[in-house]
Amino acid sequence: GILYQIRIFSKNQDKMLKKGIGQLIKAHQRCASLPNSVLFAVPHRTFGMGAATELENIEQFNKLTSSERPTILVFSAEWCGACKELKPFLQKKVEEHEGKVNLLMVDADKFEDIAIQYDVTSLPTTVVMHKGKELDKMIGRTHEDRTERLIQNALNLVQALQLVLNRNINQ
Amino acid sequence: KKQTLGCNTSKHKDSSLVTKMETNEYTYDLFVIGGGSGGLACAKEAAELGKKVGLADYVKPTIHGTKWSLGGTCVNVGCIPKKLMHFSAVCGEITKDQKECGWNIPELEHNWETMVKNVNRHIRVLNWGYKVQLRSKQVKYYNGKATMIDAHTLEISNINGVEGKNETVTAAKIVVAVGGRPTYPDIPGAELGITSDDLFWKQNAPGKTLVVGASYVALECAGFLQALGYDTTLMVRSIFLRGFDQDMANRVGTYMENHKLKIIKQHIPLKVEKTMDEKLKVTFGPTSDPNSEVKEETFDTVLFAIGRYAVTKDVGLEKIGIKLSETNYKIQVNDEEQTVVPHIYAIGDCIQGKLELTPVAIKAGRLLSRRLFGGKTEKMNYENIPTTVFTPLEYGSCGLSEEKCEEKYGKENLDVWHTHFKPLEWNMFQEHEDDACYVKVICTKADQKVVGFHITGPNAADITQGIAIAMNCGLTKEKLDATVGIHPTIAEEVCGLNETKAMNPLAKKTGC
Repeated sequence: GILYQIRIFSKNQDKMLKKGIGQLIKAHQRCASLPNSVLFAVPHRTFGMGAATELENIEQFNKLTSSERPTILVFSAEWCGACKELKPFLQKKVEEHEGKVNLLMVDADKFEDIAIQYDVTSLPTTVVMHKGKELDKMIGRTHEDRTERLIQNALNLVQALQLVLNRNINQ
Repeated sequence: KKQTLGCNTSKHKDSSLVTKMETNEYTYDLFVIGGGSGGLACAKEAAELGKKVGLADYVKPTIHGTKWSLGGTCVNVGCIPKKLMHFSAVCGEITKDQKECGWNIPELEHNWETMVKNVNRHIRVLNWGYKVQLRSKQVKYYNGKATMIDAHTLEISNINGVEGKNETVTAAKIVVAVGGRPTYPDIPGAELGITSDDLFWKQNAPGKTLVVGASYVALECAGFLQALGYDTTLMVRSIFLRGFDQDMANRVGTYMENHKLKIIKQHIPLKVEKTMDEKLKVTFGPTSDPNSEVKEETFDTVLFAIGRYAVTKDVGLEKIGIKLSETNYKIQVNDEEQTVVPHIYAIGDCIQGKLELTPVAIKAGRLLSRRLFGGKTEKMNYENIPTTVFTPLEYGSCGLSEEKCEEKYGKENLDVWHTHFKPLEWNMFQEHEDDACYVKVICTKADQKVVGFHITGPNAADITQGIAIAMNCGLTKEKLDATVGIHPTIAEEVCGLNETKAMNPLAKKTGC
């Protein structure tokens, strides 16, 4: 038989979901017309919230930074060399914790007001947000360990908050 | 009208009581119009002295749509990109020397797109840096066009490029630092040409280029374009570098001519037309009688560098009583950079009669803020300002040109010490000229004080900076002779001058 792998990359998450479903339906139909074929849907590591999203508007910003899932904001710019180094590195880290963290790239020139709001003076500046609150901040392109700790701390804190919440609910 | 407490406030101008009264009325203690070299320096200094400062910076896009961010001419369309491109050209030239030094370098090709992309990237880093600096020093930055409504009120419009987004502010003191922009000639089709504003952001290679002008901008641009490998022609109306020492200006021009730059002397463009295949056909004629001998030539790019004008016309200055010069709209100021309106000042390229240089604007801006808000009295000294023309053969100077020295002191009262020289490194490549590099030190006969310094050669700028410092300390020929040279360098030539023009009108030098 022939194995088809469906991979969908999209900056826009809603579009991605729609495309994903569309592709699945198409593949199913194709499969139905081929004798002795089976459809496997293989979740790929980059499928989902792992890939870095480029900020497009304020609404998107507010939605992601106030979400249940922690969001890692990376203030960057097209002229910033260190940002170009940090992005794939963070992406890899975020994929390793697939589905648990959002990664949002914010162009500091385009969204100057947001950069000023977060007191960003040098690039890249990485800020971890959860439900509208700033959990952590990292300035510059730093060591592997520091980046791993950034994500781990965020996840630990979210987990702890969830535990407290559950405890409160159960009481 | 201000209400006073029954005392004569003009007599108590300097008392803090009156200052407090005055500034409580205004949004800002100081408002700076223009975020270039001068404006930024002035604003930051005032903020550091504890004042409430606002600054508006606005860039009107060029005819071709080029625009840029905070930092002014120097950062965006002047010194910074110019020097980087000049450096690129110099590097290309130096590699020619290296075959004889043992490097196996193939025929080099220059990629314009790569250079522009990286130059622009660096400029954006600087734009960002200035924005952060203003924020950290608590200067309120408006990305908008500031216009005077009345003597103390400004309207800032088009904020962040949003039509209709305006704000009105008032200020106790105002500094106009709007700078200048390149002039277009008044000929049909001029708008098809570009200026230096566009050149440094031009995304694709300029190809066969015509540079019109004889200013340092024209010579520098034509110089690096030619050295980078583009078929370049320079069209000059009359003399090179008006206002500069003419002997030195001609040396710079001759060097470029000897290095494949085509120079059409004593001619002016008459019109520019677009051809069928998107090129530019330029019609030109002799300066003395343009229509007597009309010629045509086609180019990919036409660059006008014929002069600059101050961007003071729509700032609302005239209606509050500040006159602008007829020719280039510059503002007249006294020796404290004050206009005819006592609380309004002007610095930088937009003022009359001063050198259009970044360090001049910066220093004047800082000293102005210190006088206005820091209780200091030091005025800007516009004498002995060193400068360098970054043509392929660099030309550095400090003090007066030989013409101005003769005018001021009389030819018979001057000693002009001079020599040709050849940098040691130029001996590795046989095609370097023996007489391109030249230095002259003009002294007054009486006390041998150095009143003019001029040098053509590699790294002229760095050499000139040191001499400028010495001239500010009252440099004399004796001191130059008493200083031991560093060997082997170009700069040491200055310490070994032993012939004047009178002794030897033309001096040559080879070897140690």
